[in-house]
Amino acid sequence: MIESVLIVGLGAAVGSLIRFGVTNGLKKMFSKNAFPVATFFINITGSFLLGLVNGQLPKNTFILAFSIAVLGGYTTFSTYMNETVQLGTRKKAVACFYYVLSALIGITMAFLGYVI
Amino acid sequence: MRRVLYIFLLAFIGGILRGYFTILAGDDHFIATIIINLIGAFVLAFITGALPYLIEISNDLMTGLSVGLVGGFTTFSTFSFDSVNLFLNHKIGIGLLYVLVSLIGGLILAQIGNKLGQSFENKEDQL
Repeated sequence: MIESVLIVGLGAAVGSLIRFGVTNGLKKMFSKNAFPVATFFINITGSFLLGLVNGQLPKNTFILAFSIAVLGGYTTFSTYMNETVQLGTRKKAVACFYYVLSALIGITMAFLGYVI
Repeated sequence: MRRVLYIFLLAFIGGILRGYFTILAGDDHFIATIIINLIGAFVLAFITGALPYLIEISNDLMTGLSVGLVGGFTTFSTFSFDSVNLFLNHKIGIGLLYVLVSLIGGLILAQIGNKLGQSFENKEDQL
């Protein structure tokens, strides 16, 4: 129990740093976009990879548990919701698009990663 | 560098909290993920608005709390994969409920957190 919890903690720490790096990189490239490109990219790729590791890696192994933990920390639900709310005050249509598209593509990518 | 350290340590704590809730829920771990994501959506909106007005806080620590603590606590990938898992196991109703409660609940809580957070900003203006 303590071991599993520590794995999630360590994975989340590593994953959050990766997200921070990717967000900074993408924000420089897409600074003029109203659409939250960075979080969208992160959540889509993270969903695909989580499907992939669950489909490919052997069950009940450290490497699978750690991969799941890293991807859990890499992706974010809270920023996704907050960006939707913030965007909704300025650009309602873009906010709706971001909100629906993230969920639809995220779930689709998790499925594709799993069955690939 | 300090920012990176804050993110790492606070995400470690966020992850431990998520891990603890998830393991506590056992087979019903997707219920834990819903609750984690809803709490996180509210907390992030609230602290972004309120914290700079409540305490003296550096940008580095603020980033550590939002990206690390709350970002490491909540998860989008598990939300996507849990939904896929429920659908593939023919639990279509529960799967749809899972997606809708996460998405609609998350948005409502982020909205409430945002409004509550902003009220601190407005109080500051009145002083």
